[in-house]
Amino acid sequence: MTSPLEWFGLPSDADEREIKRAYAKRLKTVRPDTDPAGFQQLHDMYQHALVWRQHVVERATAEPIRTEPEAPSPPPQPVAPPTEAPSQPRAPLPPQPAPPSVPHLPQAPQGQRPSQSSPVPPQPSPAPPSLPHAPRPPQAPVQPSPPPRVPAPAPLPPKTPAPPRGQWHPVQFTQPVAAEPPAPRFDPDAFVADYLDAAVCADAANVQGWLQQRQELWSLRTKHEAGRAVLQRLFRDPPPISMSTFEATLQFFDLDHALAGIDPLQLQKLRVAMQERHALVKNIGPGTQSWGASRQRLDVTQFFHWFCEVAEAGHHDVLAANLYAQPALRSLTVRQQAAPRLLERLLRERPPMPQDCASLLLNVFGLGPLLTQRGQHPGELVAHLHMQWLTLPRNIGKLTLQVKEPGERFGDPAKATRRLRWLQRPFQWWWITLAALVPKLLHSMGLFAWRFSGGVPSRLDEFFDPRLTRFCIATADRNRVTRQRVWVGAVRCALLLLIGAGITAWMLASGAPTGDSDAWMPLIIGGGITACWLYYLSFTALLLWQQRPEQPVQPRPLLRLGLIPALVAAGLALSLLADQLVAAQALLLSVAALSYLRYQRRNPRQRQFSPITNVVVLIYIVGMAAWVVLRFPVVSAGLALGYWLADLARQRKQLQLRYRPPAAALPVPADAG
Amino acid sequence: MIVGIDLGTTHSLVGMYGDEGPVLFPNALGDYLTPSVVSVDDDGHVIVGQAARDRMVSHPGASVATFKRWMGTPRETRLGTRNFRPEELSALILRSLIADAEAATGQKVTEAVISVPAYFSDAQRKATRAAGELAGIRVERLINEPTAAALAYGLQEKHDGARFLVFDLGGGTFDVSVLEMFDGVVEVHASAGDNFLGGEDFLDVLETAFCAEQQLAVDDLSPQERGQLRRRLELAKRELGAGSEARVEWKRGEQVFDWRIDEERFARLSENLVQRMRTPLERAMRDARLQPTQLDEIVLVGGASRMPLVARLVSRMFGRLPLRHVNPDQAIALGACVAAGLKARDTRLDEVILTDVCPYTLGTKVSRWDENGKEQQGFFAPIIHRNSTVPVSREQVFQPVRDHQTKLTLEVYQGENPMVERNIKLGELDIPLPPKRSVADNAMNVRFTYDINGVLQVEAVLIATQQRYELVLEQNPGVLAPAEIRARLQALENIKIHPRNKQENVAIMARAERLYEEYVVARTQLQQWIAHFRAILESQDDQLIREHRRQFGEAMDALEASV
Repeated sequence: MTSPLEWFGLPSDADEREIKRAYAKRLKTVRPDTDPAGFQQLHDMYQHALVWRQHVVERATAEPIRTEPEAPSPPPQPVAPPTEAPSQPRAPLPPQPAPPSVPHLPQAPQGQRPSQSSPVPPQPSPAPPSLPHAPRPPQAPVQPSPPPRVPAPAPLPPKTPAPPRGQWHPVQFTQPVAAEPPAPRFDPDAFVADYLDAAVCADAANVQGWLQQRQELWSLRTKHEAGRAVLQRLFRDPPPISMSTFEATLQFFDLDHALAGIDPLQLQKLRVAMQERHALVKNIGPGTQSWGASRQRLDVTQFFHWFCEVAEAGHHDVLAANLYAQPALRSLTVRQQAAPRLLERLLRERPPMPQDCASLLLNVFGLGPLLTQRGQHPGELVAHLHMQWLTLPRNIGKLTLQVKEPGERFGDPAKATRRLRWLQRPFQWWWITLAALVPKLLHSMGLFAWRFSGGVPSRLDEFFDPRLTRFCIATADRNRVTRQRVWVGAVRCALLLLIGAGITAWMLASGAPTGDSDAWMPLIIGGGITACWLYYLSFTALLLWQQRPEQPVQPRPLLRLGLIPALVAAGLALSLLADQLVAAQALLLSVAALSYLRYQRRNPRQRQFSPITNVVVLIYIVGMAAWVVLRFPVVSAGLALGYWLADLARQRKQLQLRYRPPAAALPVPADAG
Repeated sequence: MIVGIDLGTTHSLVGMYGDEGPVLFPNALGDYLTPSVVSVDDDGHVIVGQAARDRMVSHPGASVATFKRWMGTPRETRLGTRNFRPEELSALILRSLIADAEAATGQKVTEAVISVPAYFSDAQRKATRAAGELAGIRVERLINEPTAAALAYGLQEKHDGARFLVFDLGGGTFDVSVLEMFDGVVEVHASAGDNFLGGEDFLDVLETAFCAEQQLAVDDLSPQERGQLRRRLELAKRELGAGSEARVEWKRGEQVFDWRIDEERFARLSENLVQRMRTPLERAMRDARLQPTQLDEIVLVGGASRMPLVARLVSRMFGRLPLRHVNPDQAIALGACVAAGLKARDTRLDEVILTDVCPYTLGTKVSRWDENGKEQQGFFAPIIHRNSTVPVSREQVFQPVRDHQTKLTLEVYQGENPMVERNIKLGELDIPLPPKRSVADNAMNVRFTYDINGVLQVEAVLIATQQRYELVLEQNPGVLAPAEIRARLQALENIKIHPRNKQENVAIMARAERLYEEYVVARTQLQQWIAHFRAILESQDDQLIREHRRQFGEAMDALEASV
């Protein structure tokens, strides 16, 4: 079926009257009391036909030749009423709608009234769950339709009352009828401003009275518009309005019902937000500040000074209460106008202030989007101001709390001060090299910097020498093999070798024979430790590379997958062909450990045994296994391969043997783990 | 015979669709309006109508009025030796009306169409039906009062293609309907209202103002005194409708109160009540998707709509004068008669088809997930939107909250609030779910069907198994069960009612007793008159009684005029 008009057997240019006549004619046979189902279908089709025709008229009048402003249709409603001034004799429709070819018509009925479409509307999209659950997705609180700029309907001349009839006579009116006032164009913004003046921290009864006395709200259209405007404003920035006032407002504008199209969840959130702010303002009871007394403009300079001063002291509540209560800041336009200048100053002066105060400023003035436009991240600015605030001497307590070790309760302010000062020196190689020799120093510095920056080391760049902080953080990172870690280890090993070489040289010089193994011992120990360190380093690097989860975007997947079998093959070859049992054993045991750890980390254990069972079984097995494994290299090779195969089996679904480069470059992870 | 009845808060009327259109029947006293007041006299006889209203002043403890406001609640009133539910009180009124109709036509009344406020809830409608059953008649169809008024008005005017708004401010209820008439179709677009707003509330305002100004505490007044005062104020209220100032003179014992109130002051006092009328008006217009300019007429009905402040409200809101040439007291009853004619498929009315709307939103209770993934309960999911044309049937798909849920309770609510706790629960349907199914597999189609007689049927079909569960909402809290109705019908049969031909005597005695309470100066005089009338009643000479009754009435008229 293409058109509801066809359903009625009407031509596609049938007017409203004809539709009604056709409907009435069918109604004589399909009565609501005898044939409910038939009637429902008939009525639905009738509604569709009216809406359909409405669209035809709208399309026709929307053509460039707009002869006269037609009767304005209420804009925010989904279905415009039939535009027709019934009090006058029906004028022929201005331009007779060109007989529109059906396929070009907007498919009006389907989308227009979902509630009344077909008698059995299939609702195939049951989205988020609910008790029996609502299939409607949560709507946006208010459809932010642009405020319709339709002039108020011209006041109708009061009809002359019809001549008296029967025993009833028209009433004598004691005062002239107040026709709909010839309202100047309704300005929603001005109304909202007035409303906020009346409603902020005011008594519900007064606000209700104020609303009821507003002359322009007697017009249905204006009232609807005003209600939406007020609610939209409240959603954008909840002012401190008491609950009872808010309820009275909702009731006055009749917005608190199930069909108002306002998401009750959002409304609840709004209620909570307003209540919080109202309680805050009520508790603190801020007076009017000199910068915020005027409704039209905000004294930015004065305001900025005041704000920085209070923010530096950390009085978030005082700030919030003042911002919510000042008349100047109630208007969003005033805020918008002040925002660019405020942002300039903020970026120029960068006053230290805690996180919550900075966020408050950004939120109230909507500086976030402005910053984004400039290519800056609002969160970064907030963090910067916060860190700056933390470095103030009197906020050392807050700083200590932020950088304390996980085990500590309060942290040590003296230590924090010392570390802060240490980090403030410039980066010098010789200094770092020396510091690398002090155990734990660079590591703890790295942790301090990491915690101070809140996990984003780039924020430190404006406070400290970036090379220094990066170096420390990289050193502290136990999850990666970084150049810095290699450097620190290398420095330490080099020192060890130097010392060993020195002792050996001294012993040789003091007359020990060259063949004496005792004399070479220190050097050998140093070399051994260095070798162990190198082994550990490479093992860790390999393990870190191997343990990564399977991802399609990883490069060299085959190499990664084949490493363990290759190493096992090499080990077996060493032992069987070259007969190098010790080297083969070392290699195979390492590979077995690697494979085991890889399996463990990639496939988290699900079953847990009791600790005692674990220990007993472990000692026995390890003892037996060590003996067997040391005797037969094949066993360790089998172990390595076994774990590798088990992992393969488990990860088979994620396995990608081809490297597929990502479509867009992935964000490079920050320089720490 | 099917009659049409307007069962009002303060007055009731009865009529039928006769040869020349709707006709109303007068009661035993010759009035069309029968006050909706019930009283019980000392020998246990039930008195209804004007006499009972007079007895409100003289015997307030044994009389009751405005019980329509309690319909649908289990509240009981004690009159004499017996407790009455609001249904029973209404049934007594209905019986008296039926007796009037039967006396006027000589036919037996078997069925009635009763008008109820458009905004009456399901429970209130059921209570009205029960009242009909208790009165011994069948009540299949209820008609909304504004619709009835429009029916009477529209048929009388023979408008074609007209949209109008009916503004019905009765004694206790306020209703608005937006209708359209074309080609013999009367289509209701929207109804809205307030069940606790009516002429009585304006009277309360006056009473409060009077007592505040005369330094009286309302609670200090005895029921008799209060009844007297309210009667005076009622008269003043009506006077304010026509003139610009009203005067209230009232003697309480030795104290004499003389109070003046002008129309402007009254309007100020009742500003709150007037404001309360705005919301239903706006809602009805919005739901009908109409602008004030698109209305052809605004019809005021209901006795309280005579107050000038109502006309002022309407003209302020709609920018035009309301139409006042329908009789606001009778329009609804006349419309009910037309509806009775329609119900009887009267051939003369075959051209008229009425489509009405369901004034409430009907839906169920759902949970929702907020942004934090927490379950929030108690949201109202509308299924049948208010002001849908009935009969209507709508369906929606719902899912259980959790996987592996074994039972789902479908609760049925009526109301407009987005949260169910502030709506009215009509019933619930327990649906066992097949075990071990996911949320999506347990989805079900829920269908609400609301028929033309206002019966709601809920049907849930489990989509996976096509298993069907059904609930027909007949039972409501505050509504009598059928067995109880039968029991109460038996009890009501035993109640003694004055025979119709004696009612004039009862009425005149009640009036005399009221005057006795009200006019202290004339007490001795009245006492003599009453004694004399009693003596003549005992003579059982109809001729003599009639003659004397007339004289007695005239004497009392003169007395009331002089004081």
